[in-house]
Amino acid sequence: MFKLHIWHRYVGVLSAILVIILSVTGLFLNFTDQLELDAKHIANRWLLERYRIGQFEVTSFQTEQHLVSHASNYVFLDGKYMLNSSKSLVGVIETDQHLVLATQASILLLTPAGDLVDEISELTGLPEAPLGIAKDQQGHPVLRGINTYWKGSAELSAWQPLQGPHPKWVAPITTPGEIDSAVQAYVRSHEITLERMLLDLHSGRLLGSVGQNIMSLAAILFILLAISGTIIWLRKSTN
Amino acid sequence: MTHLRRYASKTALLLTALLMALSSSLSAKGVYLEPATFINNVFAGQPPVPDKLTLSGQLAQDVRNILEHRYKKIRVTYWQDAQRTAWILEEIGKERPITAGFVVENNKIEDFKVLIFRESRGWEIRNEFFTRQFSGAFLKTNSRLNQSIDNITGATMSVNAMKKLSRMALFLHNHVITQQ
Repeated sequence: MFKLHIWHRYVGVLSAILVIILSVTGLFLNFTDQLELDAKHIANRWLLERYRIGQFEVTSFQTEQHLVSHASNYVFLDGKYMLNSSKSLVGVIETDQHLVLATQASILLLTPAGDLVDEISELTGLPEAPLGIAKDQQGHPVLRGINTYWKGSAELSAWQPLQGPHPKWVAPITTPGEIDSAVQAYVRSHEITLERMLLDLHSGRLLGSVGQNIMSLAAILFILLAISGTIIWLRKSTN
Repeated sequence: MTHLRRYASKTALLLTALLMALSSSLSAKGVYLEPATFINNVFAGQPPVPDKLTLSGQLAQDVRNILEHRYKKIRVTYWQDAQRTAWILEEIGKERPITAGFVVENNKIEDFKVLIFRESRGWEIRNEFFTRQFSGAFLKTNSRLNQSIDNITGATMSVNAMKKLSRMALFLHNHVITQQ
């Protein structure tokens, strides 16, 4: 009985730190909505490195007045967040009235200030997914399809096949240093929510497989503590 | 022995239920129904050419009053066949947009489906027990739904987003029909 008591005590001390981590993270996670943990993001470099979040690929296109960039799931206008897009940009042009962003799946039509007017996909009138975009001599958007080039109306509500030579397709440029830094900083600080980090701390995943093994060991220790504690209590009450 | 068996079967049932709940929550995010498939189903494989509605002036303000903020796009696409319209609309539940499809006929909701769900919680709104509550709903004079929609615990924000979108679909349908 004495040995079990001692063993129970040591295991209890060993588990204490893990119990505290599990309890504190569990408490926070129970109040995720109230604390808006899923709306807050972590920006700490050491923590982000645990998620292997480093440099993102930034693709940029220059129009007459703006620089439009894409990284991860975000689109930026002159280095400032504009909207979400999970699809990469294949080109950007500026018409008299709009900023036209061609993504791999759709056309995003925006006001010069960056407000979204419409997203035109194959479902809503686009002839096919764009591979590139350009402007013809009249300033109308021209879309590059697989085998066909399409000329769009000013509002991009109608498309017709383009006959003759196509204009020069818009190509990405090297992102200027200060824009790249601004985009990188934004994306890095918007990838991991506080809720995700707490969940990973709770499960041990934050430290990879080592952390997971520690938490698994902790779980086994808790079970053993519960059993040994019950046995000790039963023995005492029998005596 | 009989007790043991009873406990074992109860534990097995509990574990199965837990696993089912876990698997359903793991598959909660994603595309439930492609928007193109929804439109095709609504119009029996022959969808009409989509129309565009520009939200400007009083119309934009009315939509803003319903959503309590500006709609994310200035132009809304819809499909119309006589007195029947279909709308694919988006509204943020908590953090990310939920894409929903509405079919309105004679100023009443004929069908409503959650098409794409991107939030981490609140996916229960995809279930039929929730969506069927909207069937037959129409707008009262104050732009409110004529029937109450039951909330789902833990999915309040998603439920509210869908209630707003249903009102928006009905409102835009009424606008389109009365303009013709």
